[in-house]
Amino acid sequence: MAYNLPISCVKIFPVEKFMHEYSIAHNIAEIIRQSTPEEDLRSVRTIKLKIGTMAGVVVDSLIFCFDAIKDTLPFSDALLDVEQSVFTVHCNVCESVTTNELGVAACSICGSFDTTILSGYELEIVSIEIEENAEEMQWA
Amino acid sequence: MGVITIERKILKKNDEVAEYNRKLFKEKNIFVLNFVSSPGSGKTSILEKTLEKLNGSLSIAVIEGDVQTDLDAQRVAKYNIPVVQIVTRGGCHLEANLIADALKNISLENIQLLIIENVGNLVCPANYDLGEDAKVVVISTTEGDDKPLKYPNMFRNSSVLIINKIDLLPYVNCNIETLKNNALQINPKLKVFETSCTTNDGIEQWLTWLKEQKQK
Repeated sequence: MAYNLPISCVKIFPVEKFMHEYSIAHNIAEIIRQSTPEEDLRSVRTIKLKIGTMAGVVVDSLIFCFDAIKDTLPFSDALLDVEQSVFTVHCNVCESVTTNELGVAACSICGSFDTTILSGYELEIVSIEIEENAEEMQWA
Repeated sequence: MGVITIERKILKKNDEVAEYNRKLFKEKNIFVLNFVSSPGSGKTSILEKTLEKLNGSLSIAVIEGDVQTDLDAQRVAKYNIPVVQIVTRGGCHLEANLIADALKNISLENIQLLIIENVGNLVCPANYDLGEDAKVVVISTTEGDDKPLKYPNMFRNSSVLIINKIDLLPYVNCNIETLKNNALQINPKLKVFETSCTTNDGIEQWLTWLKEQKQK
C-alpha cells in the first residue's frame, strides 16, 4: 500500500495513548492532585464519583484503568466509589418526572418531546475522603 | 475521615481546551463540524462529496483522526485543501488538545469551514467536546435502525444526523422511519438528512444547510 502524502498534508502522532476510560482515570488523578493539599495526598482513601448510566463509561473498565495507573500516584491506596445516576426526564407539558434505561428523551406518560433531561449524563467527581492521622497510624 | 468536596466534571480539562479552541474559531470566523460515526458509515465519502460539490466556493480545512494510516488524509488532500492527519495509534477518540495541536499546522486566516473527522467509534467521541459548532453523527442503513437506541450518548450530543447509503435500503434490513424515530426519541432536536454518496441523493439538501450555517 502506498503511503505518499501530498505536501499539503501534515501527519501528527500524539504522545499519549488514550483509551476512553484510561483517559478519564488520568483526568480523575489530575483533579485529585490539584484539589488536595500535598501533605494529604497519601491519605486519600475514597474518591466519590457520580456517573450517569448514559455517560458511555463502563464503570468496571474505569476502575480497572484507575487501578492500573494507581501505583504511579501518591494516593496508591485510594478506591473509586461510583454512584450511578439514572436517566431522568422532566416533561414540560404534563410536568411528570419519569426514568428509563434507554435514554429516551420523550415523555413516557404523554409522549411529548418538550422535555428536560434531569440526570443520566453526569461524569463528575463529587468528593474525596481523606483518612486523618494516616501518617501516625502507619508508624504506630 | 476528612471529606473534601470537589464537584467537578471529570473532563473539565478537555472542556477548557475545547473552549479555548472555540474562542479561536469564533475570532477567525470559522464554522467547525465534528463528524462522528462507527467505522465505515461513510464520513470520508460525505466529506469527499462535500468538497467535490462545493468546488472551492468555501475555503475548507480538514483534520482527520484515525487509529492508523493516513489513507483518509490522502483521499481528502486530492481536493487541494489543508489536511492534518492525527494518527492516534490505539486512541479511540480525539481530544480537544489534539485539535489545538493540529491547528498549529493550519494557516487559519483564510479558512471558512473546518471539518474534523473523528475516529470511527460510536461510543467515546461523544464525551469529548473539541470546540466545534456542531457534532454531525453519520449512520448508514447497513448498520440497522436500532443503533440510536443502542448508542444514545452519541445521538444525544449531536446536532445533525446524516443517514447515509439510502440507495441500499431495498437490500438491507433497515426501516428508515424506525431509524429516524429512534434517533429523535433520544434527541428531538436532531436535524436529519438522508444521503447516498453513490447516487448523490440528499447531498444538495446537506450542502444547502451547510452554506446556510456559514452565513449565520
